[in-house]
Amino acid sequence: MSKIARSRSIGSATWRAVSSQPLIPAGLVLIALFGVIEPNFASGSNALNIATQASVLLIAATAMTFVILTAGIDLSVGAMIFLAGALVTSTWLQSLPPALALVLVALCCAVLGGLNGLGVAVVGVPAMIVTLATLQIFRGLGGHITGQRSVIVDDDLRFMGRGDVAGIPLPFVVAIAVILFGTFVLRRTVFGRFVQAIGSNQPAAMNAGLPVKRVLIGVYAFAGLLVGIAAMVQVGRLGAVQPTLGSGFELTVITAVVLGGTSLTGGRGSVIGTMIGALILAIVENGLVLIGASAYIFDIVRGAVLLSALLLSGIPQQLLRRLRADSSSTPQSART
Amino acid sequence: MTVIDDSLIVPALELRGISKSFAGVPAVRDVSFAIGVGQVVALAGENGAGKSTIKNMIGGILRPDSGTILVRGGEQAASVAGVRAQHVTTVHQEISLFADLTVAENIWINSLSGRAPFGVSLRKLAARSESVLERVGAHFSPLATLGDLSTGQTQLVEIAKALVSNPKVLVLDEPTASLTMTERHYVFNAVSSLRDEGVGILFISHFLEEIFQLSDRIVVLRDGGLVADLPRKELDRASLEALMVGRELAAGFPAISPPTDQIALSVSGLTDDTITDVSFELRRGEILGVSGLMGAGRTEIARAIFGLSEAHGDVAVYGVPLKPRSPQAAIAAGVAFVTEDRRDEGIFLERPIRETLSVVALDALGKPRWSGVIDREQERRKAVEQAQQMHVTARGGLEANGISLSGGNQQKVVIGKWLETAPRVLILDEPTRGIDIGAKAEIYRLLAELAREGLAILLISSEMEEILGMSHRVAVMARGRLLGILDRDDADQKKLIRLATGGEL
Repeated sequence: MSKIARSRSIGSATWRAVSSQPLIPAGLVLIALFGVIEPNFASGSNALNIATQASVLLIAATAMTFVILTAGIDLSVGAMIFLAGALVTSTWLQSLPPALALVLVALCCAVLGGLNGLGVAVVGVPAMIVTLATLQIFRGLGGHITGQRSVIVDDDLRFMGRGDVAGIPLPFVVAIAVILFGTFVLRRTVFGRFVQAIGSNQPAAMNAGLPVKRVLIGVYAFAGLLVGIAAMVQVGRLGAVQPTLGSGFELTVITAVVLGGTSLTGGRGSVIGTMIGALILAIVENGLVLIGASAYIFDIVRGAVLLSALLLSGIPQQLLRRLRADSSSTPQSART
Repeated sequence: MTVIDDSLIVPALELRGISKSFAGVPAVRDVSFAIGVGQVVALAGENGAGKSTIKNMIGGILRPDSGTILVRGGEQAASVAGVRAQHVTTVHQEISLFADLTVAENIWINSLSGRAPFGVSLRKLAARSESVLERVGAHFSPLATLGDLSTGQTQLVEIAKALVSNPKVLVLDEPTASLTMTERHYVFNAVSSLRDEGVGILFISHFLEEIFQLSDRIVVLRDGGLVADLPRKELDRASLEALMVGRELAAGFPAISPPTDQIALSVSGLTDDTITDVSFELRRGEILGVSGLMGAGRTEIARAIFGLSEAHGDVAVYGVPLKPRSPQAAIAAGVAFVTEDRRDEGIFLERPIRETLSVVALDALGKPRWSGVIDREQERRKAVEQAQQMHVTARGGLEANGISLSGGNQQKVVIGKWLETAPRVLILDEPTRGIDIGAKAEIYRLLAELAREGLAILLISSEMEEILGMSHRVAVMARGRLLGILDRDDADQKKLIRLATGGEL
């Protein structure tokens, strides 16, 4: 019985998620290639540049990780970023202190995310359909608020996207904070455990008396909140809200999560894995820009990455399992 | 029935020295046996003994590592389709039918290809299905949509589909697991008439009575090796069990101590779509068995008490009414429910075993309690304690995923997860279905011990012996009604069957 007491190190869930995704080493090889082709790629200033560019993706992908862990999906992420941006520029918030205005917008996103969750958990519509509908609603609302024009964001509302802490760009600091918080919630809290339990086996979660509906609504609301934060960083960096803001962004976000080893069928994955996936995508995008590739190349790469990530996921684990089974050559009795 | 001498005729199917390993772990070791023409051979063994591997090799799904399989004296074909063309048909336990097609289309699906396009006439298919459906005792239209049928009826369609393939060798894997008594009877008749037509039949079943009722010879596997190949008449139940387990079983069921007089659970007038006006009382320290045929409403009682279905009527735990009824309220009142389908509804297969053990009582593991931050040290300690108390054998430790456990150990984990909540009423639905005899005995011992400690247990089971061996009293259900509660000393199999099938005592 002594074996039973054995436990693995803290990082095992992350390791399991990452090790299920063979594209990660492939991405590292690609990055090394960029370094060879383009000397500027491996410079310190470019690293800071990538960190800033990646921060919005990192935040939104952390949100998406929670949603996908419940075996759900959120297609409304890009549209919600646009709507949040539109709200930031709207006249209703002009009279408020900037910090309060941003908090209100973030809370508003949490409520909108909660509505997604309500549709999924209470009405029982598939997440893909609910968020496909809200994608259109959010984008329509945003377009209505901005009048489909490019709107300049006031300087005092841009602080989330500018400035730095001890030389590190503030957006990246925010992203790292969100990732640490997300990891903590997922690994250490009852809520996080319930998220994984529901994604792993929803009927079992129901039978165990878990508050399945509340947790699902909570997940989508939490995702909305984080997407709201991502939106503030984004409009802070850009300084303007354009009609195309966030358009198609949900696809990059989902790709980052899947690349990070989170299973689309739910229950298995990690925020740290997502971070690695998102960073690799951001670095590849940056590298493609530096070597002068067309912007459409990144679309092709992203699509190919998503498809092959799905096809290849789990293969290293299977190999490991086979190796382990071979090394323990004698079958043991299943009974004591 | 005429006795056929194997040595004079080429057997329908013969296995010669078959071995198969998975990732270096042998699943089947040097197994040889033959199925004669017009013979029913039963394949018996505990879970993990190698039955499924042999079934899959006969069906062509797996290739043996060494040894040969002969079909009527000739080499077995190398593909599933080739094996099927040799008239070797397998009825798998996992049903492989299409829910949106009609019964007739499902039965003939394998012979539809190769016909002229647009040449499928549903009416003709239906007409051709009538006789085979009658043969398996199915009382539904061939034009019914498969998805509308019950599990038992679906199983009959699966068997009908096997029959129209004109089999020379038929492998039946647990064909009666979800059938009612009547349906079982029809399937047995169909098997008998196939035997008389000269089909060689391999019959895999957990139900030892069925094995004795149906087979001519019994092949026993243990840990992948063949331990006996004997005519049925040379075996009895006890000797077969001993062969399967490899040791004499401790004499049957553990002793159960008398219950107290305190009412732990009282149910009155419980009614929903399936059950009507069910009332009973369960005392502290008592095990109340719930018996009845498939579909009699046994599971529905449990689901209604636990708040998983909409039901009227009153449920009280130690005098406190459960209201409103929801799983959360039931758990708070001290009710625990081990569901019938542990893989799909009980355990987290792709998560560490520790997480299944702690999930119900997770709220109590907060540090500080209100924060919702899990105290991992305590979680780990409790999981280990519970696993040891339940005698869970987890080769990969508790951080391995649930899927790595055997069926019996999965069930122990599911029961253990509920014991974490220190329940006062425990409801178990088919707790020993599909688990091997050794693990069964351990679960029986555990239930007896829990009852002695004062837990009130509602034990739902299709196995009459289990009900009779483990219960203080037995409630019998039929068509959604509770027909009567018998004392243990009063009850026997005949009485239970008579009540369950609508007879009078």
